[in-house]
Amino acid sequence: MKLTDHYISRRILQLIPVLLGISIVTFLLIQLMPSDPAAVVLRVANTPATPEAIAAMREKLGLDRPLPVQYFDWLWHVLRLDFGQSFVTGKPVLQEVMHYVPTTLILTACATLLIFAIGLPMGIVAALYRDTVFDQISRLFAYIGVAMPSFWLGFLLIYVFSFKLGWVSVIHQGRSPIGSCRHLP
Amino acid sequence: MRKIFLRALLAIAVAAVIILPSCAQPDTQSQNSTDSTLTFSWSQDVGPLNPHMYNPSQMFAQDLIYEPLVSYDRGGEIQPALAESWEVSPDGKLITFQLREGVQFSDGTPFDATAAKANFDQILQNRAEHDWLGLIEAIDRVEVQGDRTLQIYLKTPYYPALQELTLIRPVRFLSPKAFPDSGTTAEGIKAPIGTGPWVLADYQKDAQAVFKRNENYWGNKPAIEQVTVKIIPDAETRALAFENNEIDLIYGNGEISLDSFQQLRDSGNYTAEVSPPLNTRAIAINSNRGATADLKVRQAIQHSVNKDAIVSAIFYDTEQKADTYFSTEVPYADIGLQPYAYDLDQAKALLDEAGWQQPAGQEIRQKDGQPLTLDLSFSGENNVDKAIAEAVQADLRAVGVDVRLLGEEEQSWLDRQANGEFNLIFNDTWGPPYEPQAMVSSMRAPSHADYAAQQGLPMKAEIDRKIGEVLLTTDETSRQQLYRDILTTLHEQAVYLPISYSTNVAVMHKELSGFEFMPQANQVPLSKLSKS
Repeated sequence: MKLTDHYISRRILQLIPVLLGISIVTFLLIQLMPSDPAAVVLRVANTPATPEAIAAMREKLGLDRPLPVQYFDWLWHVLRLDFGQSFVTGKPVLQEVMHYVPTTLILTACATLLIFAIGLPMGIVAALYRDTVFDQISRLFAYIGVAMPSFWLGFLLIYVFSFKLGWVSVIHQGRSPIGSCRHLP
Repeated sequence: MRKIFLRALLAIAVAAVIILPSCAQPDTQSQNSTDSTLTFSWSQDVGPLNPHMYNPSQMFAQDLIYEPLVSYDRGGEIQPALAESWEVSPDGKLITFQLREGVQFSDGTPFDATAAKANFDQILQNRAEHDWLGLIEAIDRVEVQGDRTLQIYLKTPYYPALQELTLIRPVRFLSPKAFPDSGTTAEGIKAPIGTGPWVLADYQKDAQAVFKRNENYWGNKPAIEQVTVKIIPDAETRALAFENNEIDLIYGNGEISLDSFQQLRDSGNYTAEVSPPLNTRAIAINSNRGATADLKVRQAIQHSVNKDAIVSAIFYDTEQKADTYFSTEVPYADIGLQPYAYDLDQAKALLDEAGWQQPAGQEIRQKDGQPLTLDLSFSGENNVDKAIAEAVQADLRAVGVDVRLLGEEEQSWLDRQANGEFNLIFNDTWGPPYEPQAMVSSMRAPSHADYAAQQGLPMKAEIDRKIGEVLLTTDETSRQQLYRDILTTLHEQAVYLPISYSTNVAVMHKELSGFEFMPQANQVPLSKLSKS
């Protein structure tokens, strides 16, 4: 018991530098973007990007500060779950992300269910009957699944199950159970 | 032991295969079975639908809810809408509108001169946002005379004022009750309440938006009671959903691939239509950079591109070849410009004259030891532009010009439009009702590719002066003459390579009737449709 405790906490502790590393790399990757974010924000808002407007926007966004300062400022806010405001919608980024969470969770849950229903039994059977025809088929199935680009596989699945077989609607998702719909007066 | 285990596993798998699909079975009621509802689909969420703001609101949806003072008819004719009549003063600096009587916003608030002025005031408090539009710049103030009379005072005469009042944004009217409690509508609105034929009834972000017929609409009410707009980002999925009877109508430009369009049209099971020409797909040629600074090189490019082949191979002849930057349908643009013919010999001769010689045994021309290489920039996300770019590259190679394709992230492409770092760049015109006045006006703004492309022209200052003049003049004859001068100069200087006039395509199930294309490119004709 103690051992697993120890193991889990060690793994969680190891996660911290990994996450920090990822955040730094992500932050630096954004710097590689050829466009000036200030100019992009102005463009999205349809405001003419004069040099003065760009300078003012850089100051407003804090882009005129040194990179490490920008990074730690961002990190400090992120640690308190404050991801700032979306430039496109003007709403908090967290709220924008949360909007997609229910659907993402449903998709993940369905995928997990399919893994348990199909993947796991197939894997066990394939292992029990190694090098039989079933093993070969399941291996082929797995290879194809990995090798095929997901957008193409997704389209094919829609084509087969929705269009050809008519089991599910092509576009209908169903109302998500968690309040993602906003009713208007 | 093994066998039992195997059987148990098989049983689980079979059960899963049977049960799972039935869990996901959609309720068939939501499908388009009734006569009075219609399902349409769009690639992007309709957005917050603020009439005074731009993206991410979708123009077609703003147009369903909000109405202009005057509306735009084919060929640039101005028709009454929320204003029944109007009068422009002789000096062109005052426009007086008589507003239609008995019009209500869908929340019951009357639409009168005070409500109209309140909307103008919101827009005018936010002038910088609307800088691209000459009208907003020109308006000095808006005044009210009684209930029905609205007066717009202009700082200078501005002939396209009426055309620009027809635009889908920003001058359309929101119920004053939906204004925010503090600040202006630029920061957000309470709810999208307009006077138009449709009312937003339900909205689920990135899933769907439901529009109900406005039962108190002053004009001809739509025949259909309800339109559901399903958000489907992927064009191929949309085509499948259409074939599967889940949507009734596909409409737009790029909303389905032309391969799918052709296949649906040829199946004979559906009604398929192609609109009249809208805007121009064009490539701007930079007169201020490298080899394209030379007029002869720009002319040679015009003669080398086989537009007929592009139109047939990429657009399956759903678009017409473009010979001029503005189509002859555009007001003031039917001035008999001489098209540049597809003529490789002439192109080669022009390049020879310009000093770009083809060394024996080499494919690419050279001058002073430098190869003739041009940068062609496009947004890497735009598959149509990419296909055109590849065709242009192949065509120019045939006359000894090397084209480097710069398919970049969209923002980088927009950066290049603004800073002029291109020889060739995709730069489409805006279509009616922006043409020619708003498009020409923008040629003076440094953030546009037009400006960058024209920057090297020796007569650029004169072009800009004439643009300024043409927007101010109140005399029809001099306006025609000025447009003739501007458009002729730009055509002769070969700073634009027009490719084709883009179109909207529509595919619908055969039980839909009453379909007709709209005068503006970004309107979707839902109000006249009916189902039999």
